[in-house]
Parts: sequence; structure tokens; C-alpha cells
Amino acid sequence: MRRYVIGRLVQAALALLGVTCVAFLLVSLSGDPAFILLTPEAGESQRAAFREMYGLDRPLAVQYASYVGHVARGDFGRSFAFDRPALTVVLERVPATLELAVAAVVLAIAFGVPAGIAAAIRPGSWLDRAVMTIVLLGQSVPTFWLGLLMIRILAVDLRWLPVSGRGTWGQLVMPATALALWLAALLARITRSEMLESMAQDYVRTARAKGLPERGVTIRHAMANALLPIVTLIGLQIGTLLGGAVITETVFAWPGLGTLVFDAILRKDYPVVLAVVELVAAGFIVINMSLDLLYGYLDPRLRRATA
Amino acid sequence: MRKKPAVVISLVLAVLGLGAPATAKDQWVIAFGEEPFTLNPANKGALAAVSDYVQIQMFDALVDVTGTEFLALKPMLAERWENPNPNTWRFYLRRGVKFHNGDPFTAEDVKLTIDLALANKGSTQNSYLGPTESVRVIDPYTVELVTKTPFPPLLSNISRLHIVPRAYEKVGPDLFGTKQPIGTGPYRFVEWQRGQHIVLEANSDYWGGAPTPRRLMFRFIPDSSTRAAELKAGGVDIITGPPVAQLKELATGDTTIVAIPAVRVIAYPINTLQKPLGDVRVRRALNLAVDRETIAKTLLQGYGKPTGQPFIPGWLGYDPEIKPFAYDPAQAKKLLAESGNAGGFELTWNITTGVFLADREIAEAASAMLGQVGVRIRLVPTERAKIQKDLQAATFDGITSGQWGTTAESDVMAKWFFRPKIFTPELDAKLAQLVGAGSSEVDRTKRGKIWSELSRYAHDEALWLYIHYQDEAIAKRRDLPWQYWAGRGSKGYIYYYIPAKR
Repeated sequence: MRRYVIGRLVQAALALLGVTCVAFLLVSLSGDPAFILLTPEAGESQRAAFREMYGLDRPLAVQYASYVGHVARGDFGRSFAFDRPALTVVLERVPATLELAVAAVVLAIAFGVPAGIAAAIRPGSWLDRAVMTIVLLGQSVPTFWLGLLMIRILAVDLRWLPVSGRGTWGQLVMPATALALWLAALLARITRSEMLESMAQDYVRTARAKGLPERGVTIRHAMANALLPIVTLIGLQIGTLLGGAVITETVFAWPGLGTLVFDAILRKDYPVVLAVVELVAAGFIVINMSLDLLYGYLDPRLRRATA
Repeated sequence: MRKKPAVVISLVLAVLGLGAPATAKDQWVIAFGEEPFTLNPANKGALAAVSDYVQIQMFDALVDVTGTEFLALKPMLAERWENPNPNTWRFYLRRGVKFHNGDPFTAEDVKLTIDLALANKGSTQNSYLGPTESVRVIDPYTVELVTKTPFPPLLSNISRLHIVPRAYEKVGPDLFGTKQPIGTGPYRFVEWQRGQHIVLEANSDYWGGAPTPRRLMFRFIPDSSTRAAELKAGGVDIITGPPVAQLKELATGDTTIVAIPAVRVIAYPINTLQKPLGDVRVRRALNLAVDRETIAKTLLQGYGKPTGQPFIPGWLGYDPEIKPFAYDPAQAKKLLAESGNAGGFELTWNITTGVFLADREIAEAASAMLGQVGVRIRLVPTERAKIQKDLQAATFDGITSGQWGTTAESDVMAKWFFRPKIFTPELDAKLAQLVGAGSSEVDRTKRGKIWSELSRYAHDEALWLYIHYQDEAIAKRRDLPWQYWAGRGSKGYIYYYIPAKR
């Protein structure tokens, strides 16, 4: 087990290094921050001094080596735009992103999974067709459109909810719903198909033959076996949401990582972009490792195989 | 009766505290599209206009350059000034002014501010000072700036330098920029919720009298449709950059539009070193082929005017006698034929997206019009940073795009657009002479004449593809007594309050 964990950690470190390298190259090649972050009133001498101040006048390879060296010591550099430590700038936005991601995932699970199970229990029924219609809508409606529509109806016309921002529960409702809809639809679809497959297995027939009540069959036998792909999907989606939901955050002026990194890319604020990329990559790696451990818990066969 | 469910839900939401917050009249909420970088005016590097939009409510400068039609100098922390010689500027400071922390404002604070800007070589603020060498305290209320060579734009430029107190050094730049900005201005800092809002409250001891309202809140809402929805729902009172598609709707009911005329120069510089653009007949033909009236009316919904010169109303050098080129495709074709381009030619046009109002749409419309006279345009969407670099390094093909906010002085903009190496030797020699003379003439009237001459020359030689200059629209709640009031040498920098006296 220890060797397994060490192996995974080495893999993780290599993955992070690779991500850093690609991200660094992409952002460095995309333009000169001195032309964006200083107004055009600044002359060439001010722009040259700006590049020198942040070491942008050095060869790319030197910049990269120096960057990796600093990051290894926990120093992500200073944001060019905010002139504050990039990591501080990024960490300030993490709570908002986490709050939105957790709310959206909880909502999606609460609606998506039961809907998928309900649809699978009686395939072809009106309930199944209703669920699948909603799923189709949920997956095809663009988030920004849904967001603007909700704002128009719920906030402007009916005045039930505040339009945008963060701070009160009311401000969380619309962005979380907009973000959850797509995910709930995805979960409902996967849950339904996994459940249908699981319900057709021998162990379900055996359970029924033993005379177990239908609810027990559905939950304890069919559902337990369908969980693995569902859990994987949820884990990966949480990983994606950690990077911030740019569109949802933009529409609802939600102060998360998505809007921060979007602006940082436009402004060529490399330290902030890179800090976000690394944080998200690290988050993904942690989630993947947790999923592996969770599989063992959910599936006794995997547990025995690793032991 | 049909309203019952709505009422019930409203009640439930109200009990849960979910309803839209009420806007008290003693607080105005202003929504911008982006967040300031810092509230530290002596920041070492980056500068965003939006940082200044908030800072000017909290900090004063030595002089203000303000006005709604034309920008004019006005005393601020300096009551008067004089030039003992062309290289020295002496300022007599206002007495009895206090910083927000209670410290008195003196010449030492001015010295610190100027010294910081001189030391921060990688900052825009540094460029405001031009050839300034040093700053001398004569007595607590007299201070002198000494320049290497005469520098006429200094007065207008230092309206952009916000005066920071000596306490700046004790607080330190990071804290000063995020939690403890201290100025002498009409509003003092209350709080900054990252990514969300900045709150300021009125400085009741302000030397110009306490402003109204009691509180200002600046919110950051990136999407223009969301800003418009917030305004309609009453969540905010003033929004900048309303969506063009919703201007009509925002001008009705509880909300209205405040138009600020002629705020932005829109430039399409032509690389005259490339064939066949070195021929003035070709450049004129391009200008004659574009129907700018229609573009201004439709794509800009009137929030822009057709133009035929680089400077716009409010600037030194704007000449109302210079009319836009006529829309005359027949004449354009004739000129092209005369210049040996009867079969037309291919031309690259580098454009931005979302940098100024309808930038992409305008280029697309103009391209179609140019196509009618045989000029086949290849539009190249280009990043803003690259477009700026390519103009300065003269490395763009054909036509490029640019924009410039209004400033009272014309020198920096003139250098930016007319000094890159994109002109034939003959054009370049004349431009060098005009820009050089305009930048060093101390007498304002004479300076204005030189810039007008440049304006005329740039028109006659068709150095740009001229289309329009842009107004700015701001939307607000109709009952809010706010009026547009420009400041600090730019029509784009706006005071978001009502001063005790103007």
C-alpha cells in the first residue's frame, strides 16, 4: 500500500510539472503584459522598466527555470496587475468557487440521481419519458442563456431574488441552479443507464427470487453496483468546477476563480493564471486519488484485489 | 387572484431574507465591468483606468482638469501656480487641508508623491512627469518641480497624480492599496470585498464641503446584460458600459441614459510604407468608400459621430472646420483607377473584439463597403496587446485599429499614432516636425494651433481610415440626482457624487 501511495505521489508531481510547463509556454507566448497593464500613455522606457521589474526581459527558458524554482519553495510570484502575491489573490477567490461548486453538486445529486433511478425502475413509462425530456433540455440549454432568462424572470420581473453578487443565500440560488441543471441532467442520464444495466443482472434476479422487497433490491443490490461510474462522474465534475465556472460566474458576477482567471488571461497576468492552473491541477489529482480510495470502499472486489 | 402564488412566494422569500436588498437613498451603488487592481495610487507597475475611477473619489491632485464640454484647468490642492522660468513649476498649496487620518496636508506630501512616481520607473505614473528631474520643498505650503527641458503638458498630467500622505511609508504599499488607502478626497475608504464591491463614505471634513450621497458602493459586474438587469431591478443606481442592444430599453421607465459626448478617439492607422498605401489617392479612396453616417446611426445607435481628423471635440487641436470625407464610392473608384489600381487589391485590416463599442461590427460593415469599390479586405482579429505592440514596432500589415480616451493634452496620443515608422520619408519628416513643435510649445494657444495643423495634415494626407469617434453612455435610475462630471484631464474619469460646490 505504501509503495502504491508513493508511486501515485511521484506521478502527481510529474503531472503538475507537465501542466506548469505547458501553461507557462502558452501564457508566455500570448503577448506582452507591458502593453496591456500600462496604459498607452506610458512610453517605451516605462514599459522596459516594467518588464525588467518582473523579469520578463530574460530568455523564456531562464524565466521558466526561475519560476519552477520559486514555486517549489511555495512562492508563486507577484500578480502583475494587482502587485500582490499571486497565491493570495487566488486563494481569496477559492471560498466563493467552493461554495458555488458544492451547492451545484449537492443540488445535482439531489435531483439527478433520484430522477435517474425513478426513470430506470419503469423504463418507457410516462415518468421515464418526462425525466428524459427534462434531461435533454438540461443538457442542451446553454448556461448563459438559462442564467439571463432566470435573471429576467426571477430577479427583474418578479423581484424574488437579487440579480447578482455573493453574500446572501438568495444570491446563491440562481447561479447554483444554472450550474446544477446541466450536471443533474448528466447524472440522471448516467444513473438511468447504469441502473437499467444493473437491474438486468443475475444478482438482481436472484435477489428477487429470494423474495426480497423491491425497494431493497433496487437500493441495496442494483444501486450499489451502479454507483461506481456515478461516483467517478461526480468526482471529475467537482474537479472541473474547482477551476471556476467562467460563464456562470460572469453572468451572476460571482467572485470566484473563473472570472479571476478569465480576466488574468486577458491581462496577461501570468503569475495568477499559473497559480490557478496549478491549484486546479492539484485539486484534480487529489480528487482522482480520493476516488481510487473510495472505489475500494464501494467495491469489495477492488479491495481484495489491492490487498 | 392569479397573483396569489407570487405573493405567497414573495412573502416566504422575504421571511427567509432572500429578496432583493433595498437601495437606501443615502447610498449610491455604481456598477463597473471590472475591479480596480489596487487603491494605491503610487503603485509600482500596472495601472487600470478602473482603479482611477475609484481612486479619484478618495484622492485629490494638485490641479484638476474638468468640465463637461471642454476640459479646463481648475485649482485643487494647489491654489495657484507659476513658472519662475520655463523649467520650473512653483505650486502654492491650499492650507487647512487634512488627510483622512487627520494628518495635515503639506509640501512634504507632494514631495513624497512625486518622488515615488519618479522612482517607479515601470509605471504609467512615471511617464506623466516626463523630463521632471526633482521636486523641492520651499516651505510647508510651497513646492517646486524642476524639469530638464520645458514640458508644457505637466499641469494636465499631474492632475492624474493622486497625492498620498507621508503615512504611506508607515502603512506600506500592500496595505495602503487594499485596506488602508488615505487621501484628502471627498470620500474615505470603508471596505473592499474582493471581487464584489468597494464601499466609501463621505468625508465630512472635505475642504470642498461634504459631498452627497453619504456612501458610495462600487460593484463589479463583468457581464453588461447583468449590469442592465441590476439597474432595472433597482439593485444598482448607475452602470457603466450598458449593452448597446438594450440602450433603447434602458432609456425608458425607471431608468435613463446619460450620454457623454466625444469621449473616445477611434483610430485606423494605415501603414503607408506598404504598396499601394503609399499613394495618397489610394488612402483617400479608402476614406471615400466608407459610409460612416450609416455606421454611426445603426451600429452605434447615435453614440458616435463621423469624423475626418485624429482629434475630437474637447481636445487641443480639434478643428471643427475639418469635415469628414464624403461617402462617394464613384469618386473612390476613380481615384483607385487613376492610381493604377483599377482592378482593386487585397488589404489586411487588424481588428480588436470588444475593446471599444462595436469594434468588430464596424470593421465588418466597412469591409463590405470597401469591397464595393474593389478593395478586398482580410479582417484579422488580433489581441489588444499585439495590436499595440505591432503599431509601435511598425510590424503590422495594411490597416490596424486603436483607441484613446480623451485627455486635455494631445502630445502623448499624437506621438503614439504619428511617430511609429509607418510613414513614407516625406510624411515622416513633416509629422516629426509637427509633433516635436506641439510637444515643446509652452504657450497653450500656440500649441493648439500646431496640433490643429497636424489635424489638417492628417486629414489631407488621409493617414488614417477615418470612421468615427465614440461617445460613452452611462445608464442610471431616473430619480437619481447624479449628473455627469468629468475629472482629472479625461472625460472618461467621472466623479460619482454631487460636490458641495463646483
